[in-house]
This record gives sequence, C-alpha cells and structure tokens, in this order.
Amino acid sequence: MFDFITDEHRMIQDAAREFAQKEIAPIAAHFDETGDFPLDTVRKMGALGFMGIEVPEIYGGAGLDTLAYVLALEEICKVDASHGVIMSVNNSLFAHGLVKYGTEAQKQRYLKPVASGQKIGAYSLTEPMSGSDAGNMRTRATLSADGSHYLLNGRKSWVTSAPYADTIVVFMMTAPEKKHKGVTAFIVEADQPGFARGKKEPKLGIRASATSEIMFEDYRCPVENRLGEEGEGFKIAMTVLDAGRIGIASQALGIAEACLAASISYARERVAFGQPIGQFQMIQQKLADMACRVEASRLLIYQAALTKMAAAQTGQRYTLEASMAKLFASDTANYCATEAVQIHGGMGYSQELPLERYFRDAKITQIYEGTNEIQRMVIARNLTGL
Amino acid sequence: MRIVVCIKQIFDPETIKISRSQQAIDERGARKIMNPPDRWALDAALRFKEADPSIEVIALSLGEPEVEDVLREALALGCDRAILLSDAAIVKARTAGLAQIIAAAIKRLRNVQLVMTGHMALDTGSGTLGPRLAIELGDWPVLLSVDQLRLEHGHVTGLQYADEKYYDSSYPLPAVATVLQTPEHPRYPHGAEIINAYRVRNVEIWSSLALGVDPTALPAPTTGRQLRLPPARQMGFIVEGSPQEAAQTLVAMLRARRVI
Ligand SMILES: Cc1cc2nc3c(=O)[nH]c(=O)nc-3n(C[C@H](O)[C@H](O)[C@H](O)COP(=O)(O)OP(=O)(O)OC[C@H]3O[C@@H](n4cnc5c(N)ncnc54)[C@H](O)[C@@H]3O)c2cc1C
Repeated sequence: MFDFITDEHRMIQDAAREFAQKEIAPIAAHFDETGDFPLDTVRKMGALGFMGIEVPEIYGGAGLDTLAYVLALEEICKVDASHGVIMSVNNSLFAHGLVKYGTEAQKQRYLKPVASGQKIGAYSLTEPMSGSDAGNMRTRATLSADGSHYLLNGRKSWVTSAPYADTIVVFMMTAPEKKHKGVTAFIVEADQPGFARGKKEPKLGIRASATSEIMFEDYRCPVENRLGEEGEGFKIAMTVLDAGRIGIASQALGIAEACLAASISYARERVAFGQPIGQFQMIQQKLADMACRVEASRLLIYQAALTKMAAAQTGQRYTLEASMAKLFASDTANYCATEAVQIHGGMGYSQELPLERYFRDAKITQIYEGTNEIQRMVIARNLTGL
Repeated sequence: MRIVVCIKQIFDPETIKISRSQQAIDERGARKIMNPPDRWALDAALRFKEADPSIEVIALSLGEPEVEDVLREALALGCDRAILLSDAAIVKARTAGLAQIIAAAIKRLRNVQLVMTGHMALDTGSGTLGPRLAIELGDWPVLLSVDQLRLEHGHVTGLQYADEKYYDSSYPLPAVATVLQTPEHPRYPHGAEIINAYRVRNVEIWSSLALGVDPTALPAPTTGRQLRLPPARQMGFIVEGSPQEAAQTLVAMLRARRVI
C-alpha cells in the first residue's frame, strides 16, 4: 500500500523491532523503576547504526533516510519510550544539527563519535526562566578581545541525556539587545573546565532517560566550535526542532501502538459478565477510536518524514508537517494510554504490567520539543500567516 | 574454504493467527522472517569467518523470488555471497527433491567444506534437511542439533544434543552441521549494511536448468494429508490445603482416574 516503504525500510524496521523485543523489553521495567541510565543497550544501539540513522556513513552514521528513522524509532518506543528519547535526541537534535550546520572539521571531530554511538550527544535550548519563550534567554556568550574564543556563562535546564553526554549543542545569547537574532549556537565538550552538570531530575515518566541542568562558568569555547554564524542560533534551534518533532511524534506513536496492542489482547481474553470485555460496546468504541487515531498519527508522521526527505533537496522547511505530526501523535499517545489503563481495569494500574509505565511516559510527548499549545500556535500561524 | 549456510524463509510465528473454528492457519498480514535456527547457524558461520578471513560464507535459499529478502538480510549480516535457487519447477519441490536441488548447487560451488543450517525449520519442525543433504552430498558426516561448534585441524567439533544429553562429537570435513538455538542472541544487521545489501550487493539467482537437475523428475516420498490443530487444552486446577492434605487429595484423584 505504501510503496514508498521499501524492502530496505522493512529490514531496518525488523532489526529495530527484534532488537527492542530481545534486548530492551526485558530490562525496560527495571530501568524505569531505578531511574538508572541504560548505557549498555544505548551503546548496542549505536553499534547497529541506530544513533545516527540519517547521518552519512562517512560521518559514522547508517546513511538511511527519515522514513527508516521513524520506522526504527517507532519500534524502539513500542517497547520503551526512554530508549526512544535517548535515540531521538541523539539523532534529530544533535546529529541532524551538525549534519546541516557543522563545518567539515566539526563533523569529523564531533559528529562521527556521536553518530556511531561511541559518544552521546545532547541539545540545550531551555533555561530555568525560558522554555516556550525560547528567545528570552539569560545565558550569555561573549567573544574574547582577540576573537579566539567565547566565554560561556549561565544555567541551562532540562537537558535530555546531559548527565551522560559527551558533546552538547548549546544555545546562548551573544547579543541580548537583538533578542532572537542575538542567539548563537555552540558545540560544548562536557569534559572541559567551566562546565558542570546538575543532579538528575526525578521524573514522572521516561525515567530511564537522564535529564539535568548544565552550568557554565567562564567556559572557553573556541570560535571553531561555534555552530553556524553568530546570531544564527535561534534559526538553527528551530530548524533542528522541526526534525526533532518528527522523532517525538514517532515516539508517541510507538507508545500509542503498545497501548493499543495490549488493549486488544486484553479485550479478547478478559471475561466479565460471562463474556470477553471486547464484546461490550463501550470497550469496542475505545478500541476503534484508539486504532483510528494510531493510523492517522502514522500517516501524519509519514507525511512529515516524506516532506523532510523532499526538503533535503529543496532546502524548504517542513515546520507545519512536523508540528501536525507531533501534536496529533502525542495527543493520541495520551488518549491511548488513558484508555488502555481503563480497559485493563485494576491491572492497568499495577506495576505488574507495563500499562502504567506507558501512561506515565506518554505525558512528556505533549510537553517537550514545544508544548502542544506551542504546536497549535505554530500550525495556526502557518495557516493564517498572522 | 567455503561454508554454505542453508536458510529458509518462514512466517513469523508471532504474526500468524490460528483459527480453531476453521482448523487453519491465517497467514494474511503475517510477516516473513529468516527461520530463527538458521539465523543462529549463520551467526556461527560468520564467527568462523571472523576468526579466519580466508573462509567464504555463502548463504543459500530456495523458493519464490520474495525469498530474496532473507538472503539480503544474510548479506547485511556479513555473508560473502547469497544464492537463491528459484524457478517455476524448483518452487514446487518438497523434502527429498529439495535436498537434491540444494546438494546440486553445493556441488556446483566446489570447495565447500561445511554445510550448516538450523536444527529445524520452525514452520514444519521436521529437521530433516541436514541429514538428507549429507546423503545427497555423498554420505558426508552430519552433526545434528549441535552447540559450541568449532573448526579445528580439518575437523568440525561440537556438542550434539540428543535424548536430553550432549555428546562431544568430532568429524572430518567435509561435513554437515545443524545448529541449535542458544540463549545468546545472534548479531543484528548494521543500518549501513542494510543499505548496501539492497543497493550494492546482489543475490545470484540459479535455475534448475543451470544446475542440471529436473525437479519434476525428483521423488516426493512423503505427502502432507491434513493439517490439524491439537485438541484445546483443558483448564488446570490447583489442589488446595497443606502439603500433606494436598498430596493425599492428589493421590486420591489420580487413583479415581486410574492413572495410578
Ligand atoms: C523530560 C524533559 C526533557 C527535556 N529535554 C530537553 C532537551 O533535551 N533540551 C531542551 O532544550 N529542553 C528540554 N526540555 C524542556 C522542554 O522543551 C520545555 O519544558 C518545554 O519547551 C516547555 O517549557 P517550560 O517548561 O519552560 O514551560 P513554559 O514555557 O513555562 O510553559 C508553561 C505552560 O504555558 C503554556 N504556554 C507558554 N507559552 C504559551 C503561549 N504563547 N500560548 C499558550 N500557552 C503557552 C505552555 O504550553 C505550558 O502549558 C525537556 C523537558 C522535559 C520535561
């Protein structure tokens, strides 16, 4: 039916599915409970090319396309959304930015080890006082008098993978008076002086993914490590988020599908009032609505992925398609998770089954990489031009 | 030297639905995969190749053109060559005929010292291909259901599993080995190798004509008569009470049913 999905895509999807089921499924509940970082499986994913799926082979990646990326990510997230977000940030928020805006030297030095999974990448836009209003940053980067380096200062918050990241793309103000146009992007090495990580944030869901603040105190960033031009940072941040949102949409789709699959089998097996609960109309309605929304999410994600692939030739943005996919798929994940817990009754609430984990994990997809309020704003602005 | 790994494509058992009312397998929407035991055999062969790069590993399969997918997977996993035996006559061949065709292909390849395959195909569960091939190849020794396979001093050595015991066995090459699935999972293909398997590498297609065999003349010593599901299992029950009481109740029940 979808003839843009080739045998090649299917094979990467199969490999991801098998990897997720064999390697991640048995450990997902444990890492969710302890909140530890699953470094072992993340490294294994790297060895298979999953940490740099769209990155050209010469830069350590697998050289596949966006469809391969969303198909693989969906399979990982069907089993565990935490592994999914680690993969998504590494691929879309870190690697994609370097592929698009990095110099040859930056790609060799920073992209290669991250795309091949030997090192972990992160992306840091949010600050304690600026989230949705990302242009309103307090962090400052000042160019030295001799023009050789920038001094980075301030605090960034909510950085996915920061506790384990080796390299982080960080956005800071270089010219505060210019607001959005005064933001610049930097490639930061986490083992240099002047850089510190905060403690891991305790979280509701995606607990195996580690998130923390990062602090800068006169961190010396050589000019060679500036990503793009001075003042280009906000554009870079937003362009990269377009790619990121397709990833988060796939993460949400994976969660939704896991909820639907569990609900279908429970509805067939669980008997109440002498019949399988799947024979009650109220349960049927939930299943039907879940299935339709899952399929609609999938189509929006394919549309966004195909638009991004076309954009690689034309250089156009795919903001609208990415936002729509992220918005709808994340709402779907939350709808499906809520109904899946409901269909499972008391068992849905129990830690014996993964449903309560899906329920906790689903929520984040409506918050990060632009809250759904922001997505609606982006979509409406695109529609009205206002 | 060359190692040939025989690979079968089967329906993923997790994706087929079984209809009790129809007494049939519903294959619609089912996914096709490499027979898992063959995947283990391939993995073992690739490990030999890692230890000795002069070894050439060739994946071989037989069937419809779509079987090519598992061979591409084998290429992505690290095989040197992949050969599909396929034409209108070949795809109709069964059991004994099948072994003859595969053996003809192996003979064509020359210098094949070891033929490996899974200990059985999960769809038919017969496990007869290995022994049949050994006969067709000229009574080669065969290691059945083997684990910890090693190649040393012109011999193939391993632990053969039979009757719930392992037998330490060793045979001179050339030989056939059917490989057990072990808990350690075989390798996964790297994304970049998947691309190469489709865009750069190629699956060779061999026909029966090229092999000089006439599949229609090959014997079919067995034929399937009927596919039937095992009877539905009865619900079990738990014998309650203290261990002593429970044991007494259980013995009484078994007596009543004349089991003991
Ligand atoms: C687990 C986790 C991981 C994260 N990972 C990263 C990361 O790797 N890198 C990174 O940079 N950031 C990351 N974030 C930050 C995340 O992107 C922000 O939390 C998010 O953008 C929202 O910003 P905020 O928390 O400041 O909320 P606020 O912006 O303060 O928003 C609060 C509420 O107000 C609403 N709101 C705000 N503005 C408007 C408006 N104009 N119209 C209508 N409603 C509005 C929001 O939708 C929200 O409901 C992460 C966050 C979490 C929780």
